[in-house]
Amino acid sequence: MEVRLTVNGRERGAEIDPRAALLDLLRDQFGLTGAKRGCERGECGACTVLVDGRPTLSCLMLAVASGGRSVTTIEGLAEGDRLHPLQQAFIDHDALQCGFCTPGQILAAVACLAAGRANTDDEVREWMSGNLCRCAAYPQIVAAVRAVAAAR
Amino acid sequence: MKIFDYRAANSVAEAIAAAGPGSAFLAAGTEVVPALRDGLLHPDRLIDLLPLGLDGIERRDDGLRLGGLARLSDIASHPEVLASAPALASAIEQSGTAAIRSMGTLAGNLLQQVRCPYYRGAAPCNRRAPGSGCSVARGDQRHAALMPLSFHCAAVHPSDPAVALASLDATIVVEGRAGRRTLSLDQLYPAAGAVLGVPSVLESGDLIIALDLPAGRLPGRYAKIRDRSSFDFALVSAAGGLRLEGGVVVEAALALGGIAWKPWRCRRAEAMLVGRPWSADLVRQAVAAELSGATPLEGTRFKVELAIRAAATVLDPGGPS
Repeated sequence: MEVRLTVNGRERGAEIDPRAALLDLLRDQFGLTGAKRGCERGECGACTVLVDGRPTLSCLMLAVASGGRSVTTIEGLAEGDRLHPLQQAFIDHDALQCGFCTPGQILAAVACLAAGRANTDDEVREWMSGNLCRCAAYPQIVAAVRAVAAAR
Repeated sequence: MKIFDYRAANSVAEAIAAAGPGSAFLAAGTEVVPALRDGLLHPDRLIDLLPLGLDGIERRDDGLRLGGLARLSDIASHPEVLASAPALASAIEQSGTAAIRSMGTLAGNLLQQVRCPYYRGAAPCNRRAPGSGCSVARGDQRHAALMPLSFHCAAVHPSDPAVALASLDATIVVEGRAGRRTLSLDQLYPAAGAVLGVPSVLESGDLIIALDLPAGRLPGRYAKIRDRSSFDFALVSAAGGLRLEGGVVVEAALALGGIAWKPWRCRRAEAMLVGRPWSADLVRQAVAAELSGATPLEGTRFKVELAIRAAATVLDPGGPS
């Protein structure tokens, strides 16, 4: 089947199997490997992207259902060489070790800030509880998100 | 995953007409996509409902109408919901994760399958493989029902919003082949004793287009008790509230979650409360009476006390509003 959507501001099209997830389309056909394939059942958050601004588990959304929608991945967050404030904050706060979960963490954090729900450490923990970090960088992740929230 | 024919529905009538044996409806995919991967669903045709919209939240003369495909997070942050049904907003915010709440639809949440570990595993499960037996009897009972659907299945309904909606007297507007009808939350789920693998009484072609919250109900609160403080299903939950006049209960609403195959509206407990002076002891007696018909397993006995305490939290006139 054919699908046409906007990815990081650019219109794209692809021929896809109806069983493919949005994650498969992004990684395997568009070469956008920032979103990671983790549990493939909505439990780890490594595949988190934004779809029409909503935090979305791209492993649980069929690619064919993404037609006409606007998808933002980690590759689309920076403006040229200028990192998104959350990307910079993750570096500044050492909020990662292996980095596998980081693209999903940052997209989830973008959504958390957009919802205005980064007012306390506990609120950030609740709003990002779907993004697991096997390296357990949680304190630094919370600090990075809170720092960007405080700067706004 | 078996190959299927994908169709985007352009109208409610088209979606209903396209449904039939071997078809399934798709909304956000948070429930359906894992079920496809696990082989729990194997439709020939998948009908995508999201193009229908049906996601509005509107104030009407007689209450609030929530679109069947309204996203959970949009409901929880809506000013009208926060004002007149805070129990529902709270139940949603304690469900799943931010991404699941942002993707998931209200109707999809009500129609989700059970989370019993045996339903999604390979062990015997009457719901997944009728006649194979129920593994709960000799297995992990922590998330099993106090009041099971039948001898054949001890799984609980996992939804938090459903419990709040039950306490708010929500009605469900269903469009189907025979036209439009309305159901109470109690009527949406099978009657006790039913032996079936489906989570609701809806049939092929039935579509939940809206939920109506009648005006003038107690706004209520939601208390959820779970093993982890986030991203976990309830061991027990309670939704409801009270109105007192001169210390006497004049109105009470209570529904319990995590104890049965459907949200459990506590009519008996409500009737015991109304007309009597409020006391913590009265609440305890009323909820205990409600649960007197329970048939706890060794591993679910603790839920009786847990349910009483969860109910006491929402039925405390001095508690946070």
